Amino acid sequence: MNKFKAYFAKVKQRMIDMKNQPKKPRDFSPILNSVISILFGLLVGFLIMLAVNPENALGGLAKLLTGGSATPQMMGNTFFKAGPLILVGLAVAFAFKTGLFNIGVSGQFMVSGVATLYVANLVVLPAPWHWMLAILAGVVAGAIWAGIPGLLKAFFNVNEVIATIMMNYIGMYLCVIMAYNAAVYNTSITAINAYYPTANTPTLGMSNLFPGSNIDLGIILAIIVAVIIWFLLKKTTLGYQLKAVGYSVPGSKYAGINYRRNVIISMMISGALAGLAAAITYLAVLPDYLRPVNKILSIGFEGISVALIAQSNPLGIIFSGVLISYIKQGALTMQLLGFDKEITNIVVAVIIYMIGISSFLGAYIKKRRDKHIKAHHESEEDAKNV
Amino acid sequence: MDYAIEMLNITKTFGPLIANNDVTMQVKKGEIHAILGENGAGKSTLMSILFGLYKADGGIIKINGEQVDIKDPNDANRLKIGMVHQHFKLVEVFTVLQNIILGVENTKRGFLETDSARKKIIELSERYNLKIDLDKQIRDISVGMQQRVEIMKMLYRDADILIFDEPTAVLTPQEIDGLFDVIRFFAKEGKSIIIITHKLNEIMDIADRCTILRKGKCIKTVDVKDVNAEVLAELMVGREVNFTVEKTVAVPKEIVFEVQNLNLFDKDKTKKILNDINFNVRSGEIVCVAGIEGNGQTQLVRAISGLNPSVEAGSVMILNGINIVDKSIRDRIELGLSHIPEDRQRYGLIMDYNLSENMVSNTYYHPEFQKHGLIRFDQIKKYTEDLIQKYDIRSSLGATSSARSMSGGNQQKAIIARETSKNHNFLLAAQPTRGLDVGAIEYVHKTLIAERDRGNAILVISLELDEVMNISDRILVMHEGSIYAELDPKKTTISEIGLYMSGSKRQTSEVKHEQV
Repeated sequence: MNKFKAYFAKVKQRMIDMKNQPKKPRDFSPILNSVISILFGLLVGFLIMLAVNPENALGGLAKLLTGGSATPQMMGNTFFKAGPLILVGLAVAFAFKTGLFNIGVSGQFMVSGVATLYVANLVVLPAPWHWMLAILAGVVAGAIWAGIPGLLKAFFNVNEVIATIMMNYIGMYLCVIMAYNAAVYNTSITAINAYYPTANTPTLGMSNLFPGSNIDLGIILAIIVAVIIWFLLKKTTLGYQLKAVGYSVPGSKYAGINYRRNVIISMMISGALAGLAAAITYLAVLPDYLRPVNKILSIGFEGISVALIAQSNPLGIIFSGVLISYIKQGALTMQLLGFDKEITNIVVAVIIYMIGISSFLGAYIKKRRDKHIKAHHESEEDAKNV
Repeated sequence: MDYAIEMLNITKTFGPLIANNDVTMQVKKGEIHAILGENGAGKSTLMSILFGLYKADGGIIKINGEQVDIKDPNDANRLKIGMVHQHFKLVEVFTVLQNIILGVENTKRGFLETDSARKKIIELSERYNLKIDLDKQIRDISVGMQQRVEIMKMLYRDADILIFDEPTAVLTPQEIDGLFDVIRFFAKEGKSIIIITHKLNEIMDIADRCTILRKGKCIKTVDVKDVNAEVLAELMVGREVNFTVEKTVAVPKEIVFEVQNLNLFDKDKTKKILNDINFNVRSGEIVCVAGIEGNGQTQLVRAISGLNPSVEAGSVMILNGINIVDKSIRDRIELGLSHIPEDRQRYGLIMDYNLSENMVSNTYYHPEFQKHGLIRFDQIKKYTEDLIQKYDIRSSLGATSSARSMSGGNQQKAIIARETSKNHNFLLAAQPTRGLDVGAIEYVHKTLIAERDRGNAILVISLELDEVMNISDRILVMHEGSIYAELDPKKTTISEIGLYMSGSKRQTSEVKHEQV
């Protein structure tokens, strides 16, 4: 009891301290930035709907905004689909925070998908071990696939953007070859999926909360991993040196930080996150199937969107991942009124543009406000002098 | 009296910062007028306003008695104002001629016509005795020649008002004399000249009058013949300044760091940048490497610090008894190396990290700052606050200020605090006072002497000869990657060092040994 009292006294003191601190002008809040950008993106989406089909525009917007939570099933599916989006967002953001641009999340995702499903279908194990091992396979495959561009960058100074784009193509064709393996290929669905139920990620009874939805462990894993990544970047020596390399390569070299090692580690962690995204995607009870087609999946690029909306903040990515998933779910119901679901892509694109220019907008607003405050102060001082 | 330039009651603010506060400066026709002030005093801002790069918030500018509105550098050109910037604005891969005419090219039926320009430039260069090679590319000519190109650019545009921003920073003593002769000739011809500088002896040497700025305010305009350097310094800093660094006689003991046969080629392996360098630094002494910029000093620092590990086979560098040639940067740091880098913003600090994160950038992995891989932020904060106190590092938010937001002088203080507080016995300081104002320079010098008296070995690379003479116990002069002389500061003069620096004189190895 006394402990509690002491704690509350401490909190109270801290609040008083905060109040008494000299007020410094607050920076234009990044969260506000994102929220304004999102609203603006939705507005543009609405304008397009107005142009395409004026009568149903309002209804379409309502569907877009509410579809993702209209029924418990839709709600559950919003979270279900958010899991992989959060993880690919983290993959992009983690690399970005450490000064690297991982365009190859799609390739890492595909290669990891194949690795996961190979383990799921070729290894037979009892329940928890089977899906765990399959997930691990995906994570390791992603780390290796992203580690290659990392090695190239560290030792031969190959630009990681180009290397990861190339690895996307190599990964895609490798997937096609590997998917046609008769041992894993499912001719009835012309794709590969997890054959044994023991390899499916458990739903943990969450489908009782959201009846009819596919929600499973994936979203929980994604949130836990987001928190871990946040912690890693914020609190650990590894995070310290990774960020140092990201902020300034010469500065970190000077300080004796091993630049090469950190570039490779950073890429591998980024790839591992992409791999985890693939694993929970393909091990779901009702998954997207991994199809052997000559097309690079768009998921990696959606990851860039998720990361950008959250401005690469790992905790923010939990929300931006759910947001994108929510809008996508809403778009599905919007189709009932005759709108193309592609409108969501426009909405997302506008949001990202807005966030891109909002740093300028923020700077502009700050400048205006500073001027205002200054003018205010001066008039006050003048008044005093009189 | 008619003035060529009058800047009356100029005020300019950047957000909350007042860069110029009611500054008035008047320059007579045919006068050499110096603007003196510490870093951040508002010299460059004032000149940028005159040159049309910034617009003043208040005040008026008159040229030859007429009020003018200078919106951009093109307006300044029309008013015959020319400026040589501290960092030259030249296109590296263009020839000298192309650089001079860039922006005011003559064309003939849409094609570039250079013959008339060439004629005019040759006339000008003969008249002012400014030798330049018109067909060489900028990247192939010396810094001194590049400056002449910048001067020629102004002359080619018929400028009558010439602004020089820190023109002597990159020149040898001999080149400075040449530049000053040209400037005096301009003045005699009736051109008005403004020189921005913080070197007092140069003002005493060349200027007629001097306007002193401090913290954005105009302190005074003085006739140079009525004052001396001490008075100017006091006006500039606002307090008395001690010019001569007080120090006792050095008592060097054992050798801490030694370089033997250090050789280094450039990237293409075609040109030797460091040529057979041999020297040592003992504990309790300050050894200064003097030389003109670009004679291998930067590469020497990079080789010692490990930033450039690709020295030739056979090169030996011994730190505390261990050959560090193949060691990583972290190993060298652990062996006792501290390094104050030449480029403090590129190397010395991680600009987006805050002050406390920067204070442990090369020791964050030590047990006092981390436990099981988790950073001990409370320890780091305490350590930083301690150093802030001890080294008087000023910033808006203390330990949590971002390095980027700090002033240059305080950034340097932070680096010096970090490097002299960690475990070390060899301090490598590359141009530790570059770009600092008089007060900060005094501070850096005192810290270096204190380091020496604590028994550490110190190697300073410096381009400022005054500094070399003031703080060193031994001087090495570098020219084209070789050590041309080893001198005792008590027995040599600045002009003698200048001769070695420019390569016109070289000690034979026997003399060198005698001197030691």
